Amino acid sequence: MNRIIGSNLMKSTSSILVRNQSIAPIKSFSTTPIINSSQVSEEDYNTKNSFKPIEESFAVVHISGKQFKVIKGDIIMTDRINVDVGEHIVLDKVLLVGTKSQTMIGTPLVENVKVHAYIEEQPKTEHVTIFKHKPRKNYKRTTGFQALATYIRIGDIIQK
Amino acid sequence: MNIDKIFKLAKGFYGRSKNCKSLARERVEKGLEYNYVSRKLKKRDFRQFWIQRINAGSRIHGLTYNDFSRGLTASDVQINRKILSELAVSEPYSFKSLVDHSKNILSHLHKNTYSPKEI
Amino acid sequence: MSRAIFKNPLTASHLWHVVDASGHRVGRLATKIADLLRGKHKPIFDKSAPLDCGDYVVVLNAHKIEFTGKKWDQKMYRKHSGYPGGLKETVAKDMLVKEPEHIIRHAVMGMIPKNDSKIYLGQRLKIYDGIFNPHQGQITNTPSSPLALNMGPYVEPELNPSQKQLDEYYAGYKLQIDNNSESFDILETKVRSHKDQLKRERRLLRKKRVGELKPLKSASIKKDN
Repeated sequence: MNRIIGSNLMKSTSSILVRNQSIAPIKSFSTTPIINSSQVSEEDYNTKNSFKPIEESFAVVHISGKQFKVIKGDIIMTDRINVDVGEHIVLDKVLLVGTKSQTMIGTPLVENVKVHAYIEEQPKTEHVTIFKHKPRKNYKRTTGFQALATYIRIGDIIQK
Repeated sequence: MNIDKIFKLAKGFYGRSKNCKSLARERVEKGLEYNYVSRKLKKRDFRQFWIQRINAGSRIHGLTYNDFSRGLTASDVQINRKILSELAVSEPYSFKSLVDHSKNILSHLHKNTYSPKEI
Repeated sequence: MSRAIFKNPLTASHLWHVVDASGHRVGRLATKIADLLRGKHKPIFDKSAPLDCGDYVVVLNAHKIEFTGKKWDQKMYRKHSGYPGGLKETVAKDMLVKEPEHIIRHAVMGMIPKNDSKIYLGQRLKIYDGIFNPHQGQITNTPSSPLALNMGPYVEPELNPSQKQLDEYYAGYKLQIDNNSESFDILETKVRSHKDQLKRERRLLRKKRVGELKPLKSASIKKDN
């Protein structure tokens, strides 16, 4: 089959930038999100790695199996990310970046573009009552479910 | 379930089913069953909904949904339908660039397949 | 989905489409009109809010519509009063004289989903017999949009097949036919071989699509039996 399809990004939760599945994933590759452990600010991170913020832009980011269209200042709810509240992280899976003059389309990822973000809150989602019932079989079960969530505030979208 | 919880959920129901124990229990349990099913249906319905919007968006630029998504998968663009429909509504220029990208890829593909042209 | 998009008048204002029906086939035109009424051509389409995203359509020259085949003589418009023997039948030919608007409206309403919004979508379809458009004032008041479909009379599509396509179409049939039975035989074998060749090509393509042949499991099962 000559289908030109690379790795299925959606199914793998760990970030792997390999196009063909035959090539083994490189272990040293960064996962999403990169924890900025040294706790440097956004500007310091930019100057250290020679990044520049893209102004008036939006980006499509991929966080733990879900995609979001974000701009600067957005607050989004994702699945739980095990990072402390208030910490600064960098999202490196960017699928598309749009500015006023141009659009960068990633196949599947846009290279050298990252997004700053901050952990705002680590709450649980709304409680869901799960009720299972089978008629005429004397079967009733009631349980509940609350997913673990994380609120993320989006900072600058940066480019090398 | 506790009867207090049942009455809490039965608020606003029609007739005696908001006041009587046995009736309220019946109605609430049936409602929760529907709730369980529709949590699964929600995923299907939304996917259908997104596809309708993408189709309308791409037809403006002269591509059907079928061809558009074929061009995207062939070039390994992995943006999902939720985002594509959002782009079609709120970011028409970015969506157009995606359609143009897809058109460009399609010109290199063999008829209705994902395989490249054989020359 | 949030309904905020329908509060923005730029995206959600109702457009007006003007269609000249002369020469168009009934069913082909009706599919287009039905889509416009529901708003399926807009990226903000939402099937749970057809009244918010639907548009208005004005159809002119309704009596110049056309059917293909023998439908003018054979197609029946039926209605029943509910009393015994209350069935009334009208042939399409007579309907054109009596009520040409009904032909288009009947076709379009059959293509709209059968629910409560059907009546209101039907009210947005305006069909007129002549060329005069009484809604001109309303149309000029709405914002102009590239999505508006203003169709003129029917134009026959031009077919310009390339030489290669023609060769493929007539392959196997290019032979001078005399009254000899021998030449007939040659022609038959030629046609047959051409069809076989096409079949072979199709089979090859299918194999390519699958990727590779599967292992012959069925042979081993037969041996056991």
